[in-house]
Amino acid sequence: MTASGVWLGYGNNIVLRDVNLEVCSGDFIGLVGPNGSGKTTLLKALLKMLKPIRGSITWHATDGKVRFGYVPQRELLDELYPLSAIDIVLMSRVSAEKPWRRFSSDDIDAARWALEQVGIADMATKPYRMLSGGQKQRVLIARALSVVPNVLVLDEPTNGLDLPTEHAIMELIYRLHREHSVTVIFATHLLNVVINYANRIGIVHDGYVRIGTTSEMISQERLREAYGIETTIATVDGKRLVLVKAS
Amino acid sequence: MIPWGLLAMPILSASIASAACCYVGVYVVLRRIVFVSAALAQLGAAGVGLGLMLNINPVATCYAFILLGMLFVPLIQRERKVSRESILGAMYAVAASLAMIFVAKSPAEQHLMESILFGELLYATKDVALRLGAVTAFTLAIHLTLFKPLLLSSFDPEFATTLGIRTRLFDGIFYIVLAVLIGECIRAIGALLTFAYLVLPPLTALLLTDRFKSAFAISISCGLVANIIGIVVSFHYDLPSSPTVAACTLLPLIVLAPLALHSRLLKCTSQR
Repeated sequence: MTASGVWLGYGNNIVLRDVNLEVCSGDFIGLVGPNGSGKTTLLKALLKMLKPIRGSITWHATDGKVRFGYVPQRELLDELYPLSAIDIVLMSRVSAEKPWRRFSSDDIDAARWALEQVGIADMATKPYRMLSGGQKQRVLIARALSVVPNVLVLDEPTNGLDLPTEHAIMELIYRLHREHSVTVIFATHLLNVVINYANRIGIVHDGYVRIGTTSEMISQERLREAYGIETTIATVDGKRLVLVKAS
Repeated sequence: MIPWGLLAMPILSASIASAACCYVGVYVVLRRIVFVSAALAQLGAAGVGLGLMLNINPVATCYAFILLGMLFVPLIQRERKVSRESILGAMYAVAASLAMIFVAKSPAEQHLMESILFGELLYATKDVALRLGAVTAFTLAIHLTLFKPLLLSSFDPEFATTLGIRTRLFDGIFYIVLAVLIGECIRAIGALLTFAYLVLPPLTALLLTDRFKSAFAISISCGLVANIIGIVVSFHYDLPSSPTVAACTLLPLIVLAPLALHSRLLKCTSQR
């Protein structure tokens, strides 16, 4: 994917300016920035939901078609709907060309496979609203997987999860990335969640996106430039951790 | 003694109307557009009133008003400065007032106004049942054929877009079908009962089940039960039929809601 000179926004409100970005097959990109910085806007543009005001975004796929597996923010889904986990996963099998088509046994098998991949096959018939936050997140990841995507796009998937669940979800995404060779674009406002998994980091701040390899971006200078704060980068058990210095 | 022969046509008409309204109503409640349906129903009634006042075809004015109202729905949904409910509430109040003013100033008789606003099921004829049957068949055919994209567009439009599904198209289809249904039901059973069918049985169903498809079946069944009880009660006690049936749509909720609460409590206890 190549985005060159992209300006994004809604009406007269410009959210991001002059975005230049390249996503290569097999990348794990962490898009990090404070709430409201424009991460979701950028994801929407990458997913072709939002047209750039200026510039262009082009996707190239080796097998002809880019298939997105999109995991939206969990909180945006309305729990009034009495749907089971498998009902939600099966949504990914709705055909845009023949939307009246009945689900085939292949569709049901794909949904069950996806639930197995995320470790909640036994909860297929459970109502979605009765699941815990982590289980709901797994259902949404299973739905994205069931598309058989070459690009997995996740918007704040660890929001509101406790520490063990957050870790489990990150490990799951990383495993799917490695085992299925899926390109991952992961948006989060928590830098520490993603720095140990992503090979590249994009910092979305003040209307601009600065992107580079994780080691380039996770430096005191870059973080000062992006956030305007002093940080310490620690390594604990081989894992990086960004701490804000007390002023 | 209940004269079932005499009540057959009203019960049939009500059942046909309720089947479609109670089905579509599940989406109305889930999409949180209950007030949209109320405002559209009142706009339809105002349209009929205008038609009667100007002595032009009330069906055309009814649909014209509903379609006009529908044009505002996307604008209302995008509005951020004031709540959607307040705009819809204003729309409802204006439409209801206009309906009463138009009908009061029309050369038609007083009972016609009541029939438009509150409906008169007991006088339903074969023609009414046939018209309702056609609209119900149209509504259910569209909804059953496009079940998946309609559900996905309403539950998670962003995800639907990533699959290439044209969510705006399916939203448009949903609202057009809703408008046609409301327009025909207002003429046959009145704005009040149409609104009651769209809200109360679906609400009962959604309280009772955790299964999406069961919600439709329960909603339609609640509507049917309310029809039979309401029409018999209205005939027996000489009460206005549509308001009586509308009030009876609350019965399944009163009877079944405690059961639903009880079973949820049991589930919670067993999970602990």
